[in-house]
Amino acid sequence: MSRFALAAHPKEVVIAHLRPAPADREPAVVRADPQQDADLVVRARGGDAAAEEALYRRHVRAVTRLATRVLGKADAEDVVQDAFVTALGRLPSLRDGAAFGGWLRRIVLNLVRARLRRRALFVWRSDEREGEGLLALATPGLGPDELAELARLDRALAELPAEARLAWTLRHVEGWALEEIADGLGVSLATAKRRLATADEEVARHARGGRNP
Amino acid sequence: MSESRLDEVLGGDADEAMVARMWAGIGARRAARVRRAKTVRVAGVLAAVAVLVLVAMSLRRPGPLAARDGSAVRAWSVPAQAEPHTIELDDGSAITLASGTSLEPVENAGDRFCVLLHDGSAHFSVRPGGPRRWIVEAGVATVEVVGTVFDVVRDPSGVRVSVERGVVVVRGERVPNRVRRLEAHESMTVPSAVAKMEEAPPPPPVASLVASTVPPPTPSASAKAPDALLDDADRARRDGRTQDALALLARVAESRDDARAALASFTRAKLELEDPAKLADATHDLERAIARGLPAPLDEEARARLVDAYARAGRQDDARRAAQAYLTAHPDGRVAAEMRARADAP
Repeated sequence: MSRFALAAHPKEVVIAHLRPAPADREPAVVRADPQQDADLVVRARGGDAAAEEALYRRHVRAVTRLATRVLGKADAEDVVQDAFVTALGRLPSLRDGAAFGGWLRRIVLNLVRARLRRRALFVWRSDEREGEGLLALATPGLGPDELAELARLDRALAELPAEARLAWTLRHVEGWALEEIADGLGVSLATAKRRLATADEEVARHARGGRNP
Repeated sequence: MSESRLDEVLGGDADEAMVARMWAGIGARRAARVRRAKTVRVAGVLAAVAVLVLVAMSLRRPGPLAARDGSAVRAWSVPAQAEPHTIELDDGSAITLASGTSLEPVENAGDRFCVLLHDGSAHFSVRPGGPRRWIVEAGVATVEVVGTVFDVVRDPSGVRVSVERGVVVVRGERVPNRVRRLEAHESMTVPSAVAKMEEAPPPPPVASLVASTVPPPTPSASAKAPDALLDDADRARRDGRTQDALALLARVAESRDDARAALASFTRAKLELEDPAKLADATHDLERAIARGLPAPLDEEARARLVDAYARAGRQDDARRAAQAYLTAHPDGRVAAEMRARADAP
């Protein structure tokens, strides 16, 4: 079920309005089986290298996609490696092995946010940084309309504080539910909603050509 | 484009080669951590012995601070028309003196380094974790720091302290409660005795001999000096009352005091840059701040922020021109490389 309300304009295709997802929708991301994770965590804690690699392979693609879509390709690989080094080193502290997936996503998000904060120390924030932004991730063969939409999204997202941009990407690109976003970012549901609302408003404003209603 | 389509058209997936490469990288990083841990354990025994030696050595006071080239620290004075001058010290700290600034070390006894700012503007970058307490005497205010980055501006109207990183303590008879702690992004102004006298409200009119009385004038907010308005703006900003802060800063920005007006415009711009809807206001305030004259380190930051603001507003030609202006004013600035890329961008 589409989570966007697409308002087709005779002249151009825009993302004109974003409606909240219905409460009963299924998550867009297929998550690894928690029970299998729990078994692998037990074995990995016991020094089973094959179990460690299995845990890695079960989750690496999802977290790589997440990191790439937020940070771009250049930083994503580095962050993903750091995340797994951290996770595998802290396995003894993970009480519930079945929660490995969510725990790993929180580690990844913390590293992503740290990277975004470091970037914010640079004085300017250009929406045309090489390798960053949604446009840089576009698959080959897209038409000019869709490329233009991605560019518009990038311009809108570049205006946002890092936390709001991250919330938008988790929601509308990765398909996370609000509760998942709040848990992943370590904030209250209200804070997650507020950040998302800020982001949605900015994206909608850009869709209106930069004009406020 | 629907969300499902958005997910389809965006890449970011890892292929098998990338997955294998990252796993190898993870293994290498974990091995490096293990090696480091082993090194630490082996060194622990040696460290225990070394600690005893270090304790004995630490009882001795550190030596006096010197310049990085080994020369002794001495008084510095930058003429009014000269370029800013940076003094690099042998502990990694640095002091940048703006044009028309005079600074004199008055105590350099090892665990204390005290300088007297006679006049002008100085930017201090004090290495954190050092053995010394730094003290900046500036007439009506004394600034104490241990590892931080801050500015002190002294002129006949008073002293303004702005903290970029870390914490400073400002003391003085005219400091509220005689002491104030400033943290990162905070600032305060301590007025001089002359400025204090000029701030005094006018005496009330002599009571009329006619039956109707004239009530004495109540103090008006508009009669407040720029420094007091700047302090009120700081309090408003810390309390989250951004609009109040902007309004107070706007009043100072309109004053005839160039130095404070420039600081007010710059501070307004930084607040406005946090709101995408206020980008145009931010560029206007940055332009005003630069035109009215900022201390060198703030001028560099203001020019760099202006480039960013123009770029975010889609004004690429203005961004290029502003980048070129930055390079003219600060050819060796902290972000000169980025500015060159911006100035050369098509």
